Amino acid sequence: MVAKKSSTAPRPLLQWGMAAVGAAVTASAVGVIIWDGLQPAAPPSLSGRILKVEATSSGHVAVIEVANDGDDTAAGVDIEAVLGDQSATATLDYVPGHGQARAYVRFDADPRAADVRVKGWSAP
Amino acid sequence: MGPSAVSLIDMRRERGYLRDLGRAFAGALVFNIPLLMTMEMWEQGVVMDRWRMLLFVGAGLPLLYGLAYYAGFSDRRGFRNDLLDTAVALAVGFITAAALLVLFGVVQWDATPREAVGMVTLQAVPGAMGALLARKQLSGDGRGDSQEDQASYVGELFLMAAGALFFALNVAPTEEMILIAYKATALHALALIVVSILLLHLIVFQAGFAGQEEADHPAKAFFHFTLPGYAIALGVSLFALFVFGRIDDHSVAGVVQTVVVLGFPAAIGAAAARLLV
Repeated sequence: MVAKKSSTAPRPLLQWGMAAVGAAVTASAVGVIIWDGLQPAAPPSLSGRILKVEATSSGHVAVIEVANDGDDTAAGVDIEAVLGDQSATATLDYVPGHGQARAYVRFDADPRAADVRVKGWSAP
Repeated sequence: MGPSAVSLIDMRRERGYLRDLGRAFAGALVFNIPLLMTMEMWEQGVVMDRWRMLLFVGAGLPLLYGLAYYAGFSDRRGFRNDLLDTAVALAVGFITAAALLVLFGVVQWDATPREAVGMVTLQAVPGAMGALLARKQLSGDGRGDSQEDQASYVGELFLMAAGALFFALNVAPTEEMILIAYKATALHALALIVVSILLLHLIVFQAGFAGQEEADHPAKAFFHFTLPGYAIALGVSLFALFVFGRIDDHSVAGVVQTVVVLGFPAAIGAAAARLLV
């Protein structure tokens, strides 16, 4: 019942080219997903550090980079930075496994010496 | 080395195919933009269990082939051509998803392979569906020679599943599905089932899914198309909810409630398959 309309005519090279791209990209994506799925899943391991401090009109803003050395993604990551008797908090939606995300905390004084802590997170 | 170099690169043929390809990209855009701009889809690309993502892609490939068979974006036909169309549609889906997610700043240059591949792959499958539906949707003369006109009964059911999945995918990843299920009482759920089946039946009739013979016997069409269609819609919605982790750790009653909620758009999609494909 398949109407073999023009199926014997030569195909456009473009069709072959695009089909090759599609097959290659799909196979690579499936490969990465399988490889990723086979990795042992270690729980999130989070650490934060101050990347830099920017002086703004509303105080000093510390740019904090939170890195996740674990395999699993952490959601709702709570970050606290403490400088003397002032503390500032921020929440990151996600920190992917073996990835990083940035947060910003505001201080009155220069927070270069602030202590950065990751307080907790939830499973996504 | 059969054909001569002249017939191997026929510029007119290439240009014609370029037009088909352009329509495929347009189709991918039309169908995929709502999903590309849905936050939950980005999150799922990162956090979704990789085996579920593989299941999603694995289920998507035969579905795409089926759509290439029934619709496809070029006039050509035949098994080999449908296979090529499937691969080309995937290329279109991946390119569209990758380009737009980068353009939206969702996929950033320092993204890990898990993030980038996950986010793009999740969007590439519905994008490829859109690419394959493009000819019917976007070209005025696309009617007539697609296989769907001679679709067998199994073919009709397949098209219903494709339509259901297409509609379900657009809403399944969102928070609203479980929220509506939480809000709904048993009475709401029952009413939703009745409305879903009723609308499915009416649209199937309007869109002419049922053949002339069935049209003369509404009761027969109800059992032949409507009820199987609703079962397919519920199955598709269960699959979509599972893939997006929306029913994890829910009680059976909670799962059923959510499946019924998503079953509503899925049923409309199943019914509208004839209009889409």
